[in-house]
Amino acid sequence: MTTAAPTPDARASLAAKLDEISLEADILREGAEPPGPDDLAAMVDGASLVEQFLGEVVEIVRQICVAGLAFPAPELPSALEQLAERAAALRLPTAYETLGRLRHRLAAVLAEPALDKRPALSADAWEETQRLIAWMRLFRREHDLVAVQSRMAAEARGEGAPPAAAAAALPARSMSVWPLGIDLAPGGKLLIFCRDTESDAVAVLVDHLAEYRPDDPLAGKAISRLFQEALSLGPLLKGLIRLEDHPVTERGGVVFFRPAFGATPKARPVARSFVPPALPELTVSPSAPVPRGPGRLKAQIGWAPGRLDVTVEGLPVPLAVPPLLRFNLAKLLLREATRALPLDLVVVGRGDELRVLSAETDFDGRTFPAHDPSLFVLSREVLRARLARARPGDPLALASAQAAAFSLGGAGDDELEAFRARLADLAPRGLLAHYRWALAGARVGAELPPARVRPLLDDALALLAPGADADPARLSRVLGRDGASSADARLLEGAAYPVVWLAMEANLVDALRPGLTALLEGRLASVDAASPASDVCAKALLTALLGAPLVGGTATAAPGAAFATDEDDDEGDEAEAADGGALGRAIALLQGLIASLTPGPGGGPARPLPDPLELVQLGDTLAFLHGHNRLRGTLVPLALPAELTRQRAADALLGSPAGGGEDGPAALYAAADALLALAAAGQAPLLVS
Amino acid sequence: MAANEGGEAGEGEAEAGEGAEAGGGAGAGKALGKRDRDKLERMAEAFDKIDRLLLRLAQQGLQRMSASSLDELRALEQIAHHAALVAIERQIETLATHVRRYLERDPLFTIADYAGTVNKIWLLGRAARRRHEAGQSPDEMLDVIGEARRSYAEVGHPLVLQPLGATGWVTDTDFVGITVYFYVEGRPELTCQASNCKPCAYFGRDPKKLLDSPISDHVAHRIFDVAHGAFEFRKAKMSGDGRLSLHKELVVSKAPYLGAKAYASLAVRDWAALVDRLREGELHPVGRGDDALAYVEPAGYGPVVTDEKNARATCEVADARGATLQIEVPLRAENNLLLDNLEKLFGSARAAEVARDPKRARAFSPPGKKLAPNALFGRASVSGGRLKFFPFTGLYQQPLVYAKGRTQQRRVNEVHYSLEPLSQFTAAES
Repeated sequence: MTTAAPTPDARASLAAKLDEISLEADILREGAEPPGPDDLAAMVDGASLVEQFLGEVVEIVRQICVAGLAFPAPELPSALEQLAERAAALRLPTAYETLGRLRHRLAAVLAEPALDKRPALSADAWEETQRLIAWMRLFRREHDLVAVQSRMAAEARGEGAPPAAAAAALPARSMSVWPLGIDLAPGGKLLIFCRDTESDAVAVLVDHLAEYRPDDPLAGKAISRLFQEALSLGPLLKGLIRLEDHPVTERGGVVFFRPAFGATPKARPVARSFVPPALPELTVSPSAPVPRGPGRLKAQIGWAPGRLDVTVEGLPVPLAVPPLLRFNLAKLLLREATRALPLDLVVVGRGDELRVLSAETDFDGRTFPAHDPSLFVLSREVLRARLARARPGDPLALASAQAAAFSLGGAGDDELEAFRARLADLAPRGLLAHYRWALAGARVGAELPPARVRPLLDDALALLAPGADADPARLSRVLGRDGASSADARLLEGAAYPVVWLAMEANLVDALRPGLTALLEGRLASVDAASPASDVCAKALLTALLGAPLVGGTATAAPGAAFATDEDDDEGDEAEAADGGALGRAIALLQGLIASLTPGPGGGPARPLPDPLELVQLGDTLAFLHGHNRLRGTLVPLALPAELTRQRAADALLGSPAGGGEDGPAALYAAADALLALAAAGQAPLLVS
Repeated sequence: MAANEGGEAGEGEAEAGEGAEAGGGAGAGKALGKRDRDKLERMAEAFDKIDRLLLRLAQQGLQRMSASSLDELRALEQIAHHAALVAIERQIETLATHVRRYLERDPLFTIADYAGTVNKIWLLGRAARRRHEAGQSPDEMLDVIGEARRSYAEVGHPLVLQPLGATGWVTDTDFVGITVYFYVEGRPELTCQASNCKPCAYFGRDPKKLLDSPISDHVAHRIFDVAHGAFEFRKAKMSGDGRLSLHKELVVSKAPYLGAKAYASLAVRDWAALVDRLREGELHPVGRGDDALAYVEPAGYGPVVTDEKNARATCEVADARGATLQIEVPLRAENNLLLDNLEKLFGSARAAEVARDPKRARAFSPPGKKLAPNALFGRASVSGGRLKFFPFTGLYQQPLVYAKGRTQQRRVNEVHYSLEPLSQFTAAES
């Protein structure tokens, strides 16, 4: 505000301006210019005169309202005349004119001696009164605004001590930082470790994520408080981050940027030629404290059955290896078909351990193995080629592993046809071998001739019947080895599922109905959700099969189709379960088993995860009961601990010829089962794709 | 937004109407239903009746009014109601209250209020009559004639809303509630609001107790959540005056918090700009726009001065140039928490002490400096020659940690002073 001295002209100008503003009280007064600095200065001196004038107008209005226009006080016209003159002196033409007109109207009313003629005259006076009130209301309002502004102008000139200072803002800095990696806590607290591109200072961006995928935080969008937008972490970590006047705190030489109210970082892409800031090489020794970093670490990763080690120059390092990192490192070893590998890591010290921010390989470049589950995936072609090169003693074991690999897709028809032919030439012995052989065939679309399993199933059902004798000859055929004795009958534990599954696969359920019914009502009668998964699956299948006739008469037509027209309509299944039908009871039994495998909402303990083959059976049964065609590979993903399932698969493949490991039957069967279990859990693309 | 879409459609129709029938309004240019035609007919009759009665009352003056004048006003209210002149109907109701107070020698009666109400009826009547004569349909005249009940129209796209502030209130008719004001992403000129209102008989008279309840029976998110984070509202419905309907089909999900960006269009650093904004808003003939929502960034604060005599508490807030506005809070029970919070932030002084030593109102050390806000969101107005401000929410550049009980902990950038005790907030570690 300026401090121009008020002059009489300025005062008059202000009043005229206010009057002009209030000229048309009943329309929107657009385009009226606000008072300028001179007006404000004039207002300081002229306020009292205008106030006084307005007060007298109010008094006139009061008199009119109380006395009424038909009988106005005789002195009103002269009072109005005086006010009009005052308005003229104050340069208020609208007020002057309105007051003058009102004076004339009231004088006309008073001059009319006939009382019955006064109402018509007073109508005009009423209109003028209302115009005056409307003018006054807006003039007063404008006057108040000007008064406030003039007061502020005076205060701004320093005519008053300033009040206490408001909150001090944090210092702010601008910098471009190169993200080194992240640390993401389960609650969504995210730390992005960075390095300033100019000063090489360490910067940490503290963020809080919402709506992110805890199992794959780098994929999809997450709502970021720091960036104040929904962003993809993956692309963000591949470019620079620019912070402009962002509030900052410093501790221990590290600059912390937190979510700010008025500043947001921006992601900036980098050119291919961009050279990231160099990081120091960290040295780790058992006797020295954990280095803070971040820095580089040339580590060696090594795998042995059930163990993954990270060492530096042969010595162990306090490196935190969470499940996802372990899975990724195992995948890397699997892809490279080796048990040991040097790896460049970028790590940061947190507490008494080092955490991996990123890892670099020649093939993959910079990766974030602690948070990205999609890394180091083995190609399906490579997997099949490695298995094809294996020369195991047990052809069925190799075929099982190959079938599992084929079930992941990507193989040509000729390749599949040749494999099916090789499979048909195999001659498995015993129930379990037949099951594995048929399972492998089912995965590649091979038919199971009933004649190849009927005698075996008759033997098995006879042995599994209530009160049956353990006939050694039958037992030998079922167990697949010569010279079995009745003492070996205990080995029939877990045989129910292969029997049921083979009966279904060979379309022998109707033919074997008496034996299967006896199995359900005898050996499986006491099976509940807490029983071994294999038996639970067998009981669920039999409950569904024997309670509801098969539709279509083929082994691949699932009972679920009889109940749900839409494969994805789970509500239909739930409704059926609620009805208590055979299928509903079967599904309820399976759901009980799955629930017992899943930790409770309060983190309560779950029962141990069944072995991979049982997981395959569980997934297979669940898919069958939901009406899915297993041969198309549309298995229902199981809500099972994904980390454990995929870790098992990675370890199993590492221990097999697929990972440069042994080619013994156990390793191959383990690899086959683990791959199929992984597929059943919907996790296969993270390992082989 | 729904209201504006309707408005745009109306303008389009008006142009079409003018093309079809020179000089005619939209109503004249298109076929009106019988209901609207009847309404317009009743309106024409009502204008004359309203003018006649007001003139008669003006002619006889207040001193000749009687109980029959009241009866006449009530009958006129009915006439305005049937003619869909809702705004006029409400003003006639107010006028009847003034007349009743005059007749009962009620000390609350003032000539200024009486004359002002008559003037508003006169202004509204003239404006509505002009629109009517121009051939506008009742729907096109809603801004003048008003609506009996607020209507909500579905917004055709998802709305991303960030709370600007929230305030608790208790009405004279015994309802307690919370209103949350929202910034609408992409529509900086629009401030919309959502309210949760409950009867005091069941919920008491303390608005902060509603903070943990859902924003409506159909939306699971708590009022606290919605008042502290950005959300996307799908299938949103909004009224012409920016009120959000919390209806059954509404789908609410989290959205990125926008921080200071949400306040950009409401932000003022110097109070002169705030006065200019108030001036822009006061152009309506019947008194709307006397106040304005604003985001102010003070340079300093004075202590809270309690004036028991006038039942109000005030606090001087200075801008960077030293100009002051006055926070003014009436001493009412529902404002107790707000005043407690302000006193914690800025300290307190008695009016009498300040009268003895005016410097006391300006020079002191605020006790709650750590929690002093960087900005305030609230409602500004001018009265008594002062710029007044009623604060809803304090805004903080650095988030505060809100803790309730042992489990609920959250970082927030805003404190709603009439709903949240400052004792539940601590400055986040640096």
